[in-house]
Amino acid sequence: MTYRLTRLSLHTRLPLALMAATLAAPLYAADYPSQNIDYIVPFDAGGAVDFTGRLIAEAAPDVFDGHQFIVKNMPGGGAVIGQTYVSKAPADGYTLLAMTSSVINNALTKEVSYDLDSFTPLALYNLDPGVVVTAADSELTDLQSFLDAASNGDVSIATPGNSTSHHITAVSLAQQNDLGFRYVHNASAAMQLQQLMGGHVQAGFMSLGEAVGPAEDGSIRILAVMDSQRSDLAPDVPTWQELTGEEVQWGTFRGIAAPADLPEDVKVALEERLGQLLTSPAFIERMNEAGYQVNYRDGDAFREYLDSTADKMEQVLPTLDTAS
Amino acid sequence: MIRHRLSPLSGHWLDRVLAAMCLALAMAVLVAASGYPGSAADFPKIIGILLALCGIGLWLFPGKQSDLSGVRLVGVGWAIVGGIAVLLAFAYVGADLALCFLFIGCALLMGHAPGLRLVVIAVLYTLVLGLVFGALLGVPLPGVLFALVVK
Amino acid sequence: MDYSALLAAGEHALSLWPLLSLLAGVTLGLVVGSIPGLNDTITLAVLVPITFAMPSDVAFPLLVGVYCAACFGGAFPAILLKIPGTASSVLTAVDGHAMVKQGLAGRALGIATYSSCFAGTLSALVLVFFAPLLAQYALKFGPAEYFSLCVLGLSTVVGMGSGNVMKCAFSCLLGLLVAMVGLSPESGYPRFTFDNFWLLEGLPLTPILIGLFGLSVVIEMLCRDAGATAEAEVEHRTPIRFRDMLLPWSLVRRLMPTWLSASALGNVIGILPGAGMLVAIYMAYERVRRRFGERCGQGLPEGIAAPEAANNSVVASSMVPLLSLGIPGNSTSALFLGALLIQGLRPGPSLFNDSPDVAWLIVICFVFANLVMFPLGLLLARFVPNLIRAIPQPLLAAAIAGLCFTGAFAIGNSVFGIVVALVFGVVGFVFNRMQVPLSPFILALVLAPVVERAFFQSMALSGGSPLYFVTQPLSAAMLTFTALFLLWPLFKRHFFKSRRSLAAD
Repeated sequence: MTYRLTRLSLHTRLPLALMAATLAAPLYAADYPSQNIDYIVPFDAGGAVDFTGRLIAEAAPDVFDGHQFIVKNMPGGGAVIGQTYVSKAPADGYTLLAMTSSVINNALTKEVSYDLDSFTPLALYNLDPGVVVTAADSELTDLQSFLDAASNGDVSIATPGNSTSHHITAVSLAQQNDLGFRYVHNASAAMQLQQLMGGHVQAGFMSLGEAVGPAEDGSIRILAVMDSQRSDLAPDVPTWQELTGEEVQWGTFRGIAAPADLPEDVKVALEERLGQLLTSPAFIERMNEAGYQVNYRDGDAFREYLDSTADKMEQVLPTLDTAS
Repeated sequence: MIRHRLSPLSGHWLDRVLAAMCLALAMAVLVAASGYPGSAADFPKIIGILLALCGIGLWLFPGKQSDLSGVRLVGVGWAIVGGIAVLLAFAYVGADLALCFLFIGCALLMGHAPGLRLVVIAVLYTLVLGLVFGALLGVPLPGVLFALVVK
Repeated sequence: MDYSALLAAGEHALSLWPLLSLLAGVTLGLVVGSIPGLNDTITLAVLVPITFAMPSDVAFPLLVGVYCAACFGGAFPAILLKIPGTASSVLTAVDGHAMVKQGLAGRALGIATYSSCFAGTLSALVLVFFAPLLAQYALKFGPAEYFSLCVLGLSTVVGMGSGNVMKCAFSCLLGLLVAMVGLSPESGYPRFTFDNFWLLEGLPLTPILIGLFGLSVVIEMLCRDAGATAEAEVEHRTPIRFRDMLLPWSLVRRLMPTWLSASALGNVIGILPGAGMLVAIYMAYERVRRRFGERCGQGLPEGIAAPEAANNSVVASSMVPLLSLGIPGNSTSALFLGALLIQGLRPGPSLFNDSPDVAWLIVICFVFANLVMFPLGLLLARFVPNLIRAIPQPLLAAAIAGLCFTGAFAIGNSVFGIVVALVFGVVGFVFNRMQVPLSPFILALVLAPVVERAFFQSMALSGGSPLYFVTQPLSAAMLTFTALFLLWPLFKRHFFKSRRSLAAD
């Protein structure tokens, strides 16, 4: 990796440095960035957050004057380890966190030393709405039949784990619509898919990004997407709201954050450069190739989104203890 | 043979300790598990009960005997103390120094002649480790020296 | 099946760049596999982003090469130093190192190479011809089947401890207990975590392996008496020649049944994500143990052949769910998924229709990677041991210690990994001295979360009825097998007694 990056930077370092010195000088903080930046992924290598993080790191030297993003995996404690590390890191802009909804979950459900205010949201780059899926050969062919079955009795549903945002979604829906679910907790989306395709469970709650591929292959069916509008990834799938009239929006997101109390000039420089990176056509193309959409929002919009998600979670969480 | 296996006195004293520890562990697990709610307690409880049975079994049938022949117990102590020292150095000083210290310490304890040669080998080895992990595998190790090398 | 596409892919794979990158991948895989603490997952995580810039016929041979060879590379330190490079070579260390002690290092490495390459090629061929069939079968495995499979896997432990049953059981129970640390799979309740966040997700497997098998050896070296050290020096000095490694035809014929049965186990069980890999290895080894009894563990050729054949079969078959269903079976094939996506391909039933050239190239690369592994493996087996022996014992111990510390740190980028490795290093040393076998511990550690999750999933599905495990046919079959396994010693004694009394008459 380093080999390729150094080769790349040989071509780009000089012009970029000149550019930074002349054109962009008034925009960026004078001495930021002056060294490589640690990009903390609080999960194991191989997941979606790690993967998209490495895509960002690959594009970073072009935008950060030849300095690299060094992806560090800090798994453990349901992402608590990595998140704690960043919340306690010096707020100098050289430690960034791959921020996901688990920051909110953890702050609300576990006794952690941080909350949302311990971080400076910088950019949101990917939104993945939740979906309800069934096996292709299931008799639950649309959302109405799913809801009927669930209100009459038990429908077994696969979740990616207890207290994950998809589990919380299901609990919240069950509570609002008086549905009966049997929760089969798994450890990953891959396990959910296996149980669905094998006919071991009747339905599942997962992210659209994880369901699109198997749905195109015809092995599972997406009943509804929980978003305000249909997704470009699956334009044929109706939203929950279209079908029931009830406004339901749940999903996961991926963004970038720094520790709180970032100096204003560093914050501006980071937001500026990250915005440039995340909206560059090359990056968007690469993300699309890998099956991820880019939904860029800047730091302020990201903070708003975080706050509204936290509010929703707080309403559901009290019921979670008794539901599982 | 059977007598050897059945007699409670045939085992090594360490085997007695193991059996006793197994029973103590079983108790601790059962106590801890009794505080867990609902389904979370089931498996720990089963393991606790099985451990208790295993402890009794270990007392009665120790199986293959423990063997402490050829062990310098001082060496074990040194290894543990050294390991903790390196761990602390790794965390607070830097991986480069810690690894150098570890390399030299191990070699000396094993009877390698002290001298400049050993120090040179240790430094070279540390640098290679830092390079392999930092540059090739993208896992940079903490440390002043490594930061310079990898850049 | 479209044989012309297969042939075209084969021809393509043999052209210059694909072949070179395959060679590079296999070499890299052998190196990372043989270093404790490094594994295929972390290597692929670093490599996958680089492959963006490569054409697909260079990217995939490289990745496949690394994946195939890393598993085999783990056998080198397992045999030579009794330190498994990867979890898959835990059992290889037992008979492998025993052979080294008898001065048969070359033979041991030869058997490992032959077994790995033979079984790897075989399962790659299975991948070529039967992937969709196997994938459908893998889907039949629901919670009840996973539960029964794990129970079957755990029952092999009982057989392992002949004359040492209680210590074996203790090791197994301790593994189960250590696996309980962390959030419970069903309700997410933190168990045995002592309010420490580092323990919430449970103890990480790789640092535990590094401690149990790596650091324990270092401690052993450090506290050996001077006399014992000199003795150890002698046994390490037999040089290895090429002809030691080439197996005579008679031995190949003798090992063939073991290879075939272990490979079959690897192919059938290895497809199942999570539990598959280790269960396959242990069941293969258990088969050998049943046949050879006490001779197992004393440097028996079959004791190396069975686990090595099984684990290399698993490598190719773990790709079956990914390629034919689009479900990644383990973290490594999840990275493959990423690599495919980034090349604009989506694994699943449509892959072989939409882009047959790449799909077949990947599959064919699995065959070639295993073939390339053979000469490369022998070459490495010729030089690495001699290199290791050229290093004086003190420096070797120091080098191993350094690698263990660095590897334990690197896996989670934290000192916590080192803490875990140190603790289990002492545990491993003490267990070795107390004759408590370590392999049941590892098996239990890996299977415990699977078994617990599967149990509560089954309970959720059946509404709390334990009969569910018996009413599912596949699950019932496996539980029956387990019962036979456990009761076999009783049958055997009865069987032999009646035969002996007949003879006396």
